[in-house]
Amino acid sequence: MAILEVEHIRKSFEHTEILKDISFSLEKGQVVSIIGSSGSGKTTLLRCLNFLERPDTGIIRANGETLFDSDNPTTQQESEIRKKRLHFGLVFQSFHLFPQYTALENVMLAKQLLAKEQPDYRARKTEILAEIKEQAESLLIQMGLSQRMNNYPHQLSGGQCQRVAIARALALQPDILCFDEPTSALDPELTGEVLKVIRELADQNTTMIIVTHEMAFARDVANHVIFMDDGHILEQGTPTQIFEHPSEERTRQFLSRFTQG
Amino acid sequence: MIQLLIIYYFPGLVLHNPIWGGDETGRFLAASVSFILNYACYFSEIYRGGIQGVPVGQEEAGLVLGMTKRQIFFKVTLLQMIKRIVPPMSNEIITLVKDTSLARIIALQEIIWAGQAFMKGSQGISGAIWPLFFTAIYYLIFNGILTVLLGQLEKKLSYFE
Repeated sequence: MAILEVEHIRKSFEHTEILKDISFSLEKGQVVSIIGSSGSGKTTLLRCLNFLERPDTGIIRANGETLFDSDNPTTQQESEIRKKRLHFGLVFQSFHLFPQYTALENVMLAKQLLAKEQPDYRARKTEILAEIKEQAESLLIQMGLSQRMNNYPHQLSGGQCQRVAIARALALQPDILCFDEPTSALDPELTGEVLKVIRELADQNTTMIIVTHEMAFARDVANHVIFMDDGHILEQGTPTQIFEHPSEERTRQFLSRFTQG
Repeated sequence: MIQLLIIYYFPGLVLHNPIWGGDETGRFLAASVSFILNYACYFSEIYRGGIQGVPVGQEEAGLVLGMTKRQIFFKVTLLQMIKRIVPPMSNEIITLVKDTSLARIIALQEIIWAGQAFMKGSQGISGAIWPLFFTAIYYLIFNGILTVLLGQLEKKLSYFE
């Protein structure tokens, strides 16, 4: 069964239609990369999935549960949206770490706040907090940041910040992890270390949606590639299909610089 | 200053209901109310600017992590906002101390008033500039202490950027 199904999503801002009828689905353990020129709606699509934007029409289903249906107002209640967001993790282009917390605290914060809602929180407080800390530490070690846990974000390089942000998103164990151009704010060297981490996650069968301009990476890491242009999904398929035998002229044009280089 | 005058005289002169009374306590109350109203405006504007100065991304990051708006405000936005508003707040607080001298317009016996009283000789000394000079020292010391305290607060918050 598909872990994520998106059907006929449309989204307009003012009078500009950003997403024009987007449909796709995603299997568990699959890595999808979304490529396309700037302004083609890639980021908006991710923001819709994370309920940072509300689609005008369409349906979003995760694990068979309807998270959003524009025809069904009960799926749009503000109070429910918070829980639904937990199906998704989002890593931003510019990290958005919380500057007043250390790397470790950044990773733990959301989980600690959520734990307060558990019925047995009072009784098992120290135990729960210790578990959270342990989990956060192991995530940061996995990200190669064992030496950096108690540093504040401004003491970390961009690549380290982004890895903390990935750990922070993973801490909540989302079904689907979304990356919004995770390396666009980084120089080539730092890009490498972040991509390495994402690749490791892919090897562990983490379900991911990656919006990126790193074509080589998109091709290598994904099992499915979506090419978006002007709010449409113009073409989708396996990486080989898209990168080597694109059927659309626009895709060829977009990829021409990459394939030549 | 206009606000002081209006708040002090308006109830009596226009509404024929001198709510402040004519004594020192009444004047002090009227002066307090004026300063509170006036500075509440400046301060709220600083707070607003401080909250708006925190990048939207911080709230979005919180939302995506399943935090409630309240949690985001108290755990994420608030401290960043405080850090942003300490310098402009320090300015306003120090200005407030100096502005208290305006209260003499409604004959409240504030510090310069007291200094002048000494100069005029009503307390037995006269013709000297020194009492006024010492009021200046008073302002200097008072604001000096405030500057140090607020500077310490700013320093304390400089552990993050």
